[in-house]
Amino acid sequence: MPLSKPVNTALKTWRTVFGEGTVIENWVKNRYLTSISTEVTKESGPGWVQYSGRRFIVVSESDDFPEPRRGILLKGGCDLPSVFTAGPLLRDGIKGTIAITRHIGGTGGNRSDQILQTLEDLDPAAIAETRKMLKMSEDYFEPTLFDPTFRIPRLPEAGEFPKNVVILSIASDETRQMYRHREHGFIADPGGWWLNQDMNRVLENQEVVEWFRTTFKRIGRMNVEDFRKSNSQLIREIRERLGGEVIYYNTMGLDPANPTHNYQLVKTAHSVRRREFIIALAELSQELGFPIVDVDRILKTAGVKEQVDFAHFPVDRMAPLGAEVFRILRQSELV
Amino acid sequence: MSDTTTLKILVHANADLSDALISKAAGGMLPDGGLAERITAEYGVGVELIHEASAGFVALHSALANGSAPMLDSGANIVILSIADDVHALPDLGATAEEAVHRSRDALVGAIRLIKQKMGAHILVANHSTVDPSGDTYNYQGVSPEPISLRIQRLDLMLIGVSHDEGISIIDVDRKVAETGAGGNLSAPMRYLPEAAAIIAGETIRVLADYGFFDDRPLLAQVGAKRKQS
Repeated sequence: MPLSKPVNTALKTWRTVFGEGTVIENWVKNRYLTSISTEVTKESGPGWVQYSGRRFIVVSESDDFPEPRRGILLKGGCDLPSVFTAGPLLRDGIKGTIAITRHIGGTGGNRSDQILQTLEDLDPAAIAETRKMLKMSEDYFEPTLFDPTFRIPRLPEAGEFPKNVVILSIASDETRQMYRHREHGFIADPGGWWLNQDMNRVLENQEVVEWFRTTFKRIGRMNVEDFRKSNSQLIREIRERLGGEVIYYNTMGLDPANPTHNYQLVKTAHSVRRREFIIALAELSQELGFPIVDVDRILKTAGVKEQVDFAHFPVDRMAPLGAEVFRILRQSELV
Repeated sequence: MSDTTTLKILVHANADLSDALISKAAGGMLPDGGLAERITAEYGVGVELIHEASAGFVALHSALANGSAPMLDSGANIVILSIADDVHALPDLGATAEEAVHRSRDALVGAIRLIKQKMGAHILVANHSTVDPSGDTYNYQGVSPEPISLRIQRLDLMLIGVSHDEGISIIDVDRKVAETGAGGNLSAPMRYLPEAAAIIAGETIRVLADYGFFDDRPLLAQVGAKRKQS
């Protein structure tokens, strides 16, 4: 079990008794949680070395991280860390250095229309207020995805990497609810912060809740036509601005263990949306010629009985997905 | 079962589904008994299983419309169809994939309505596993015809819409095979090995049991009647 789990549980108990933001809580956070997230492990073998951290891996032929240097950026949700399992496959005969890292930002900032929005001129005061009220990161509205290079903060000696490949997932477009600023028109997803929080913390300040209700209106989930338009534009922007290739993860279409056989009385079936998005993504690939990691096929092939939902799969399903990423990267001559 | 002693089940499909519902002794794939034998053993209900070959929804709709479909004289209580033939035929059913799916859907809906009207039978339609055991397409540009997995995906989706609109039930082969793992259970697209075939038969029995065909409490029929009254 990772150390972060018992530490977080202990902190939650502490907060319940002594309240938030105490000196002890801050000390524990700095002492333990920060060090957990900065931990870097090194493995090596004949002709390769691999550095791994919480949000990255770097595979290189030597410790001086030689050329050619290729960077792979992951932008998406819970499914994309499976890409890291491609690391051991990249070691064999590696020439130069390959870095794979997750883009900054949490679950609430990955919808394709949100990513595109970062390229627009947004009202600075309104986004500053929104960031503050909803505890969003400084980068939430910034076009950092389109920066031409990235660094690995926990491994500065590895230097800078070009964004040769951006790997995206359709899961956020399919699932995330969005809210639009009533006056300035930009969109935001506060649920990304709420997801991993105790609801008591989320709702502790009723002023924020009221501010959100009066400042934003719910626009809900993306429809399949907007999905096509938005991702079509996103692919073009990434290709034009970064000169890199795009790879998409699709998602599993069915709901494991859902015994529905008659949909007459079913108002909304998410499996329908997912199938629509899977098909739409394949049609976009027909049109724009980008590779798809067929998560639907890979998970169904391996068996989905143990899955609690479509998006969260057992750890042993990560490796086949990583292997497929590797196959695509190699056959597409991207690494 | 409430008013008949023998349930007549007509399977209008080819090997993709008949293999999974018919015993090995009768030409199918199930060594321990097919749908009929299992229902009789489990519920004590007599079953007559009738199998006829399929040429797809367009041909079926046409035959039902002009009165030449053999199933019209079968007296079947339940008709089971499959999307498989339309999956194979999809590239020829329309100039675009969207057009082809619409044509398949229109024919299926037409056939369903005629089966209900002329036979009074309940209808189940099997979807299929989207997994092609030899499929490894990752870039769809220039791939023609479309990979079979994508065509299955299209018709599996279409079928959910038809279930919603027409009230028919789906034998969810896609889900059942995925749960157990399609990797070791498919010999070719939409062709299942014996373990998966037995699971598909089991799922078919579950759906039929849900309707109350094997007891005196037809659950879905009651729900439907209540909605109509209100």
